[in-house]
Amino acid sequence: MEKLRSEIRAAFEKEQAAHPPITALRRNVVEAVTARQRPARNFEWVAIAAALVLGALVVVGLVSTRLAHRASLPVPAATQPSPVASPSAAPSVPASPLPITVAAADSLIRTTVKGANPLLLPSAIPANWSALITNLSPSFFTVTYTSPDGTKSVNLAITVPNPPPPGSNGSQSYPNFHGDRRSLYQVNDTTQATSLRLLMWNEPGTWSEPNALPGVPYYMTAEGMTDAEFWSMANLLHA
Amino acid sequence: MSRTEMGDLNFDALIGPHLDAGYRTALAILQNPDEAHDAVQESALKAWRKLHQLREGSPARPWFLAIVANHCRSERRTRWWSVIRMPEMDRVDHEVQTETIDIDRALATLPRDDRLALFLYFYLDLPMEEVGAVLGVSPGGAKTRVYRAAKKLRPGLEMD
Repeated sequence: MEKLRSEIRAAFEKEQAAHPPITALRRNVVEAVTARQRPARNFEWVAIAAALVLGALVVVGLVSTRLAHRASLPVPAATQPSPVASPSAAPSVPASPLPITVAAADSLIRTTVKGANPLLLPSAIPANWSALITNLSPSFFTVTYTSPDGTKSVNLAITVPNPPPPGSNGSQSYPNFHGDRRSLYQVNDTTQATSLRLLMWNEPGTWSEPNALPGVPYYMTAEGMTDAEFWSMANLLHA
Repeated sequence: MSRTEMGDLNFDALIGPHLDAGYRTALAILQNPDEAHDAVQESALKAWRKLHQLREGSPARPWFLAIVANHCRSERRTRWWSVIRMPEMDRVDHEVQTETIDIDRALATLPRDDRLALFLYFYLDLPMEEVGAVLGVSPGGAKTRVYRAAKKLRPGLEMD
């Protein structure tokens, strides 16, 4: 492994050495960003004010014609949910993980993770998929289920994640999953049907680790799966 | 000091130290210095706008590198002429080891995200937690990705 590490490193070093570092990159970028941002913020305020005026006009119009009705869709929260990570939320990853069966993984997780209630695991994973447990302790676990051909994978964990915002083609929504108003569903690229997607939520219950938010912090990601496939997995988690 | 100036200072302090790593990451993905420079600049702008989403106390590096990686992925998808660039080989140098060339070739043909995982872990020396944050997966998922990518380079490899 060490030999491979040095070979990979050398290969990347050779590749990077072909392009010398850019002089004053930090200063140039920071100046460019802050210079571009200032006028943009002024336009933001104009846009917000215009939106408020338009919104008020719409409301007045609707009330006056008695046609107003409340939308039944839930209003998304104004900010991204942000469960605060506790310092102890950094469990070690066991070495040399080996794929095992889905049933064996479920059994192993259930016998080890006693500090989280409810302990949710998927029931919609086909039996012929493999499972790889890369983190396991009384309070945490991380398991990755992979389809036999390797094209689909689902990752489920009790962890406090801090996912970055998606790219320009991505989307974020707040599905109120399991009653958690702060739950976040993110698709990294909506132009791709099977783009990386993630769901993070705090499951109502108890957890043995200190956490700023109540409940158990679950984190589920999937690759190679459509929206429908993802939700069919998420909706069939069971204690 | 105005609020804007305070914001500029905070941004410089938080993201400034990671711009070079961002450029290196963009270069590894896009393989073009000009595009990498543009990518890191656009990513920095996005980071500035989303700075309020960065949780207080959490590391800025993986968060910013993830923005860079996402931006580069979008850029590559929009290039209809995108090609796989093979690393430049020095045809005159007879001392080059065959094994090294194999690694270069294998790296160049790896799927983009596998290559990125190896770059972050082996070149930037990011811990698995940060590799996971950049790739949008858990630390365990990141370890799996690195292991899987490394196995593609060397079948039969046993992870330490």
